[in-house]
Amino acid sequence: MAEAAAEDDAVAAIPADPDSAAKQAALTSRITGSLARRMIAIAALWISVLLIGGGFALDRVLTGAITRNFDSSLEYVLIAMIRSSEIGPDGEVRLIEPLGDQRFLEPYSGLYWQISGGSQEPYRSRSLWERSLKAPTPHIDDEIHTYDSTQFPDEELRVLERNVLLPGSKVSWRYQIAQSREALDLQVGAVRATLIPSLALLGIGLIILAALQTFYGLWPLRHIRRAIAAMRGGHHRRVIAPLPLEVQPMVEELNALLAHNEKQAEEARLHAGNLAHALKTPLTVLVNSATSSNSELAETVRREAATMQRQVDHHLARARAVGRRGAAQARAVVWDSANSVARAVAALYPDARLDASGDKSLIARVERQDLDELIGNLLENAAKYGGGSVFVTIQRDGDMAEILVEDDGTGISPADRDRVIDRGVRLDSGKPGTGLGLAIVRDVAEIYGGSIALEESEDLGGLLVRLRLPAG
Amino acid sequence: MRILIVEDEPTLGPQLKATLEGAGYAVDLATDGEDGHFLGSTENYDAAILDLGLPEIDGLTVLDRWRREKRNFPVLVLTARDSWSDKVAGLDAGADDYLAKPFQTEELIARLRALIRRAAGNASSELIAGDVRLDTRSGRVTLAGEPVKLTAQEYKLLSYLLHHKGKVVSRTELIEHIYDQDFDRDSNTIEVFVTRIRKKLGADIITTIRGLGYQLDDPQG
Repeated sequence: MAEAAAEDDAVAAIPADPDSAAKQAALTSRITGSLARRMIAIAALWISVLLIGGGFALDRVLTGAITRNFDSSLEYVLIAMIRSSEIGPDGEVRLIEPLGDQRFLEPYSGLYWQISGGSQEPYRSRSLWERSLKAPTPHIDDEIHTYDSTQFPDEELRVLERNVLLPGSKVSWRYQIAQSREALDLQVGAVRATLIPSLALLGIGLIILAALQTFYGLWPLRHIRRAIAAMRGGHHRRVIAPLPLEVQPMVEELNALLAHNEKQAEEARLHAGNLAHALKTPLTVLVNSATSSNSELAETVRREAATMQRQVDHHLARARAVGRRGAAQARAVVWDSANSVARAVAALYPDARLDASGDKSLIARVERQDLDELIGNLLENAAKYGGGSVFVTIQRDGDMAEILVEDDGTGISPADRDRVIDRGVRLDSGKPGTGLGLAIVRDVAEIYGGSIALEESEDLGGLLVRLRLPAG
Repeated sequence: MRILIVEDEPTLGPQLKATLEGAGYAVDLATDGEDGHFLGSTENYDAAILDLGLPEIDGLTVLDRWRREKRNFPVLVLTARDSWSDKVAGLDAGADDYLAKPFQTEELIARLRALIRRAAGNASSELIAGDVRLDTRSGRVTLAGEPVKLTAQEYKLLSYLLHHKGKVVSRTELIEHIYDQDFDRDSNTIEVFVTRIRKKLGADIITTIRGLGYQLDDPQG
């Protein structure tokens, strides 16, 4: 999981890369986003909403219960107060027996009572000392009224009050009992101190679980990505990994598409090849018939037949290579190809001496037939136009396979090097050939992501052709 | 000189036959693989021209059968399939030369002549001096098994000295054997070649005998 997360981070980090293709990929990534990130974000959103909503409800219920409990103990005192009241001889109210709680006697203890009514100075607990409780609104009923009061600047009060008509008195007495909210607030605070971290922890746990679920659930997608990468890397021709039910049809479609593409490319190549080969025998007949005559018509036929041959050769070579471009798994051992082609060139050019050295196990990501074609053209050029010695060096340069073909001919001046690669230009028109060798080599090499460069051979003094192809 | 042509194309076959007859060869024409194989197995030819795309039996199979039957006359393969992979397959099957269609008859005749000439003689041998080996057939020069890059002139000089191992060879003699007649001869270039060969194969390979010339011998001790 951690590895997958790191991979995602790597994707997100790409915009720093100066390469424009990478920028493009990063842009696409920003627009479409990561599926995993999106799913985790949604999970985090609903988990947060539910937990916050649930937390508020739970808080209300718990706080309500605590407050009711607090109030009912005050109410009990209030009723005890009313029960033990009587009217004195002067019409004043008094308590027959003192209320049990010691806090009513200590000044500013936080628990107070007061009875007010008539013209009498309010009768109040010792704890109130010189203060008195206000009676803000008159009540017409005799229900118990409960409210919070901030009349004392240093402490917030919870107040219960009730109007009472005592026997033997016409005055409606207001009984009030008040307690500092501090104890209540401490209880509520203690509940919240447990509730909020618990819910937060629960939320984090749920989000982590959602992330795990997402990564595990998306595993097949990463697996497909790796399988496709392995295929592009040339290790397999198809995506062959066993995958879950939901993904398998997609993979099967992908494989079918690959097979279809390969088949079409193969057919197109076959047709191009057949057409080109079918043209060659009639061309031979035409050329040979024209050779036996010296008329202007014969000259035209010879010239045009040569052009046709050039075209056929060129497009045949391209068709071969383009058709194989899709085959990402193409692999060939460079040494084997160079060796067998050198053998063929040596047989065709008995005066040339060919030799090779270098890495015998180096692999190029090129179809064997195309590699034969590339090396064959270079060796033939060297054998035909060089001084007789041809030397092939095979080496790895980073992630490229390098094939150096040197000869001891006169070489090609730097000014002519670009021109000679271009189609149809030949510097030595005295020898037979279509002059297309290097153009074909360049085209085919570029199709595979390689290149050719013309240089001067230090050891042999002639031309050095540096063919670079992606190494396997 | 008797030549066998195996070519199924109805115009090209007779055209080739006529051209070669005009050039002074005795020519038999077979128009399918079966017939061609039979003629090649039973008659004695100096060379054969074999098309690869043939009805009945294809050209490569015909060639392979001839070679199994120890029919060793030189074979020039003629084909529209001119990719290097095809050439390698043809030459590995025992062909001596490979000519891609379309071709010109002059080239065909020139190659045929060279083929017959080469088949006539040319025994192969390897020349050895110490760690240096030169294969006159493949033109391969190795130093302790590793191939060495030599230019054509360097190769000719080394080859001449190896052919006359132990002998003192004068500059004049070297010039006469290395350059063709029309070449502007300059005896100083010999010294340049010797220096370069010494650089590539080791300083002891060629000894300068003052006033006489050069000597190549197996290294002493």
